Amino acid sequence: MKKHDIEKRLSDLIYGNLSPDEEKKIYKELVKLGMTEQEIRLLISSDHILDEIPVPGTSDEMDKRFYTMLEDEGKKILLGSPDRLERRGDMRMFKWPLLRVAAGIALFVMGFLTAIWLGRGTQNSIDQMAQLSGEVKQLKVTLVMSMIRQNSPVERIKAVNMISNLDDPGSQVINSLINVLDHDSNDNVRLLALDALIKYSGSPQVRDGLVSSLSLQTSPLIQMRLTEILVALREKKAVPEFKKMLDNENLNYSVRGKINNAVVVLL
Amino acid sequence: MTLNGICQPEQLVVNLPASFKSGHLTFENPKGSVKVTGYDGNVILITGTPRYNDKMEEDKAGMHRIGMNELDITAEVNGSNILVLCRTTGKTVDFDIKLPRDCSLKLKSLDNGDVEVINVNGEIEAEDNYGDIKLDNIAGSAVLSSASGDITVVFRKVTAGSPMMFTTFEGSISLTLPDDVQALFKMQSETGDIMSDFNIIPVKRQSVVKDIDNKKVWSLEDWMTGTVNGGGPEYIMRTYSGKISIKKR
Repeated sequence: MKKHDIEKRLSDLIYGNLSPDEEKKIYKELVKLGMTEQEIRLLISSDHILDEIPVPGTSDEMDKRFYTMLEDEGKKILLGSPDRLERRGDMRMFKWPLLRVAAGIALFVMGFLTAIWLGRGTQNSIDQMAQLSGEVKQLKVTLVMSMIRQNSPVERIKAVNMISNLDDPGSQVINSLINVLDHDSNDNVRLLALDALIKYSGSPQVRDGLVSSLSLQTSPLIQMRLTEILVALREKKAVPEFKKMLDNENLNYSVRGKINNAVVVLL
Repeated sequence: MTLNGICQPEQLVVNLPASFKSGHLTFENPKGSVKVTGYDGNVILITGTPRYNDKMEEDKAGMHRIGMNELDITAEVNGSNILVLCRTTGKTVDFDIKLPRDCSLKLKSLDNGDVEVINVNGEIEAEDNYGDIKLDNIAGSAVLSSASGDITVVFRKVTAGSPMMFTTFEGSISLTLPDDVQALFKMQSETGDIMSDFNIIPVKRQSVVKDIDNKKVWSLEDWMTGTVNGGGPEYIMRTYSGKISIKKR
C-alpha cells in the first residue's frame, strides 16, 4: 500500500470506519513504517478516549519536560507554515499532513495515559490535563480543517462526516461548514454540509448563514433542501430571500412551488 | 439556398510520458455530452464533435461563409494532473475522451448533454445540470450529482473505506455493486420506491434536534439507513421524485 493511501485511510482508522480486514492492512503498514503496536492502539482509541475518560488525577512527579515537548509538538502542527493551508491546488501540501496531525493526537493521548498511570492528581495536574484535552480537540479540528481543503470530494465528505461526530466543534469549524455550503465546488459536498448544519441550528450564526446561502445556491436539490430546513426552523428572516428567488424566471418549477408554500407558511 | 455548414469533429492527441501510471483529469463541457473511456495506453485522445450542422445562406453570387476553427481543445498536463479546456462558441459539442484506465476524473456537463464513464479505475466526480450520468465497469468510488437526469452506476470493484454520494433532483438512481461490498446505505426518495436485492439490515433512525421558536424539537431523521455485509462507509442516495435501486453485480 502506498503512503498516500495510508494517509487517506488514517482518519477512517481513528473513527472506526474500516472493515476488520482493512484495519488489519493499515495496521501492518503502520508497523512497517516504524510505529509500535502500542502507538497504533493509542491512535485508534484516541477518539473514544477523549469522550470517555473523565479528567483524571495525576501525580506531581509528572515530568514537566515531557509535557513541554508535547506542547511544542502541538504548536508546530497547529501553526505550520501559513501558506500551506491556503494553496488548495498544490498537491504537495497534502503529502503527509494527516499523518502528522494523527501522530500529534497519538502523542497527546500517550500523555493522558502516562498521567493516569503515574497516579492520583493535584489540582495543578488536573488543570494541565484539561488544557491538554483542549489541545487534543484543537488538533482534531486541525485534522478536519486540513481534510476539508483537499481536492478530493471523497476526503471533503469524510471531513464533513467527522464534523458531524464532534460534540462541540466550535465556531471555527461551524464557519467552515457554512463556507462549504456556500462555496464548495461539488453540489453533493454542499448538500452534506447543509444537513450537518441542522444540528447547530440553535446558533444565530448558523441560521443567518442558512438564510444568506439561499441566494448562492443554483442546484435545485440544495434549494429544495434548504427551503425545507428553513421552514422546519420557522425562520422568518428567509422570506425576503425566498421572494428574490421567486423573481428568477429560471427557478426550477418544483422548487418554485416549494418556496411559494414556504412564504405562505412563514408569513 | 441553404447549405449545411462545415462541422467536422476535431481531435486533440496528448502523448503522456512513459512514466505516467495514473492521474487526474478535469473537464467541463459548457454545452453537450462527455464520454470518457479508459483503455490500456499512454495517449489521451480527445474528440469534439459538433452535434448540429450550421445552416448557412448563400449570397447572390453563390458564396457562403466558412467558419474559422470554431472549436478549440486544449489540454494542460501538470505532473499527473490533466486539465482539458474547450472553446465551443456557444455550440453544442459532444466530447469523447479515451485515456489511460487508472485515472480519477472530475467531469461536468453544464447543459444539453449526458456524462458517461466506462472502464475507469479511480475516483469519479461528475455533475450534470440536465442530463443523465452513467458509469459502467468502474473500480473505485464516485460522487455524482444530476439536477434532472438519471444516475446509473455499475461498479466492478469499490474502494474500501471511501464514502460515496449519488443525488438527483428529478431522476432515478440505479447502483450496481459487488455482492461482497461492505457499506452503510443512507437513502431518501420523496416520492419513489427504494428497491434492492441486497440483504440490507436496517439501522435504527437517529434523533435530530432542531431549535424552533426558542424550543428544542426532537424528531427522527428522515433517512432510510441500513448496512450490508457488516457495514462500512456511507453510500448516500437521494432523489426527490425518482426511484432508487441497489443491485448485486
